[in-house]
Amino acid sequence: MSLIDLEGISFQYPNGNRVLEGLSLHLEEGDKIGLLGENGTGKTTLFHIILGLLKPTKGEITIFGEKRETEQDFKKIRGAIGLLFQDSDDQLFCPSVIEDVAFGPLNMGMNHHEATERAEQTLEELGISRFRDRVPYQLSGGEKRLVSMATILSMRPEILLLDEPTTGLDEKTKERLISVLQNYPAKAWIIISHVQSTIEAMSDKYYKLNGGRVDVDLV
Amino acid sequence: MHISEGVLTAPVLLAGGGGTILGLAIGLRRMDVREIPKVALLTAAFFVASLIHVPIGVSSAHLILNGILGILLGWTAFPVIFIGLFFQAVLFQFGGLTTLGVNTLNMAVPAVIMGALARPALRSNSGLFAMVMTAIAGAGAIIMSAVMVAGSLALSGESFVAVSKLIFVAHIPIAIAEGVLSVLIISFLLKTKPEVIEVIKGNMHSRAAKLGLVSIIIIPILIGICSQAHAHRVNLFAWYDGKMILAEGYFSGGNKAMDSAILVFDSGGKEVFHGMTDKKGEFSFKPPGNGEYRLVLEAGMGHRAEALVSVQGMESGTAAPEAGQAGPQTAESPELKGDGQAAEDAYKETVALTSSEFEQILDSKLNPIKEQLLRLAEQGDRVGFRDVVAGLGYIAGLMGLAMYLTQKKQKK
Amino acid sequence: MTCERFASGKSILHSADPRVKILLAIGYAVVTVGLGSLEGQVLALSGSLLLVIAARLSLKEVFHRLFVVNLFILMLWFILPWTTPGTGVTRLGPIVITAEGLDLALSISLKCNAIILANLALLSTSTIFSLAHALAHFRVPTKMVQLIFFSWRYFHVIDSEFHRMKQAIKVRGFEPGSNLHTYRTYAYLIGTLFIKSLERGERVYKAMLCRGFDGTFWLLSHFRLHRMDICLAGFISAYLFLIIGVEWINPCR
Repeated sequence: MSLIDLEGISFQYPNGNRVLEGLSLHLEEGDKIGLLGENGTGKTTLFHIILGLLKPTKGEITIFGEKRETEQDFKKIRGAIGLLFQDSDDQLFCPSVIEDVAFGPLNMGMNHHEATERAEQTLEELGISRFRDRVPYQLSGGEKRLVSMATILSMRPEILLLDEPTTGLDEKTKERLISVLQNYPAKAWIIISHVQSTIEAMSDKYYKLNGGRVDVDLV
Repeated sequence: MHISEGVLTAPVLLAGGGGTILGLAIGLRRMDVREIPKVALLTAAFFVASLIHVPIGVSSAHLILNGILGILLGWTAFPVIFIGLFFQAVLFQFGGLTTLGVNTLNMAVPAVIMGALARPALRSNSGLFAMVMTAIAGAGAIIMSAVMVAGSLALSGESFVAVSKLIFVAHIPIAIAEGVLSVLIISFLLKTKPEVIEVIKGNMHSRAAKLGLVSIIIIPILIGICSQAHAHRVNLFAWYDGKMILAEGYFSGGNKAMDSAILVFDSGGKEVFHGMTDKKGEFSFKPPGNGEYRLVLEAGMGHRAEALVSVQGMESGTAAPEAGQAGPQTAESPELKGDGQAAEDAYKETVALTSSEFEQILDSKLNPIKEQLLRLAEQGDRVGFRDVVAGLGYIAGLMGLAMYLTQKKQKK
Repeated sequence: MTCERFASGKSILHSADPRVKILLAIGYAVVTVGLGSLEGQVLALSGSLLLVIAARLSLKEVFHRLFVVNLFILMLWFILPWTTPGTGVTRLGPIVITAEGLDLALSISLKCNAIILANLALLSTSTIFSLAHALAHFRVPTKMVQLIFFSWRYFHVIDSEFHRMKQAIKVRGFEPGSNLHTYRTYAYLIGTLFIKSLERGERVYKAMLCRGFDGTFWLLSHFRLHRMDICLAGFISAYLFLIIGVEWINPCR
């Protein structure tokens, strides 16, 4: 079954900057897509469109077999699609790691106890239980990335959209993150990365964004 | 909580401008040049945060956060708030240029005072005390701002009293929300980066705290005087002409209080009659017997006036002058009644004038004077109070200017 | 966020010297605020409308702005007519509508919109940077001018930072409501924003120090008074004097 279908998506920023032009993309179950492209070709924009953070100027979005148009449509799928932001500092905002990781589960309607339990469990799966009571803002760059990964995985998403997950990480943390992701039972994911080794390790299909369109299997 | 252009009167605008210049001078003087980038970035952050709409009950309101500003920045809150309002005026046309001074003062003074109150508590060891004071500062700053906004409106004319009350009431839920948010924000900052609380130094000292306390005491008194001045804005004149009790209701400026309810109570406090004034603001009623009557005029919106009339010799005959004895409490009454009666008696001996003809003549002669007197008294009262406000503003402005000039000298 | 929406354009008012425009805007506001006669107020409003037309601003956008501001005025129209003492004109149930109240509401509406339109045409046609620059020429304390410069420079940076944070909580399923969870989330967001801003401020200052900043604020470009500016100033001042004259002939209501 097709999880995400994008048909003829175009997007133009209010300042006139046109980044996507008639883009089509299909994500099937089991797909591990690596998305390449130069800076400013609209990779992050594409992720934001999938989650309804930006509305495309043209085109159709179908997720889990249903057409998604309104904010209400997208709200339903946000728990099921986890987006890892390029900059962890955009994602982490609570005074303690455990609160930040429990934030998503709380929004999904869990009570305080369940959410905390889920958060602790997630931290353990990622092997970062020792960060539980640390202040996210005081963590190192690599630690922040792992915690923001935890804030996504605690919602148990089926699809992962990863925006530069390993950029700026040392080899050890990079391997750690990749192994965490490979052990996670995701149905499919899309990875944006400039790091060749990450793309190679984590994807079996390579798409390249070029002139606002997707060129399949270019690499 | 902006007041738009064209609403406030010149004295209020001037007073606000003067106070703001003073506050800006103190704020800028206490801010070190090295702190400019930090303060500027915080200004930007506050400006961004003030654009958030936070749900409150069924409605939502955008944040003001002046309590937090006061806690973090002390006197520096003045320039920060000023710049925020300047941006809003130029970019979104909220508030305005002429009201920039008043609006800044209304938000910054509570910020400085509440900051001064909460800062010592945040330095203390008791977490609970610190949080209670933070909540008070967050909510109190909004309440105080609302009172000041209401006061600026009320000072601009009695027509705005109702509007200002409405504004005050509307800010109570916002104050509660900001109190809660302040506690959460400050405890977040204490957990993640405690040094933030003390980040902008050289601003809050005991002198400022004292000044704050003094203002906290003075402001409600000022507002009290102001509302007191408005409570007497309707006047009732009543007298007994031998047959009927006659009354006239006036608003300040001499306008008639038309279609207003009048209640008449006897000396025992029992209501004996109720009715309405006519289109001329006049009212008449035949008293049931001798005695003291208390007339109460209800002109709506808290406008209320009373007058006492004593009725004697009700049954003594048809000759009105001898029978009529009235003792209204208003200032004009001796003129109207006492002198009138003496004159009437004198006339009666010489000229054959009926009493009603005489009343007409007297009324036509005296009414303009009565209105004039009333107007004078009212205006004198109003101008006096506003002049005080404007005077304070001028003084504050001159002091600010002086501080600005001395600052220049020091640099050289 | 596009804030300086009216600042780009090619009209006379866009190219005029910001110093002249600031003085004219203040003059216009001060004269208008003091107007008591209906004639004067109508003249002030028509004058500022002409200015907006001269500035060739998008009228749709201008009216949108006016609409938002006039919500407060609308509230006054609902309250003032029956809370202002005076001669009644009509009554609705228990409340009496007074002529004075209607006059007051009308006069506030006219004056408020006149000043706002004049500000739109005179001030919003400049960028914040050039306004701050002009303020520096008026001997506003350097600290103040620097604060305005820096906060405007970094406003966009912080705004987009905040925007990304809001998106990040949105994708994690956050929905605002009247509850403690919402308040806590906003408080954390705002707190994080403060810390980020302060740290950026520190970095900015260090970077400035590295480039030899010693507290002096240098003005690179200087404004030049053109003949057009003098014409504009003369024209608007003459109009203001006309308004004052009309006001003088028509006694205060």
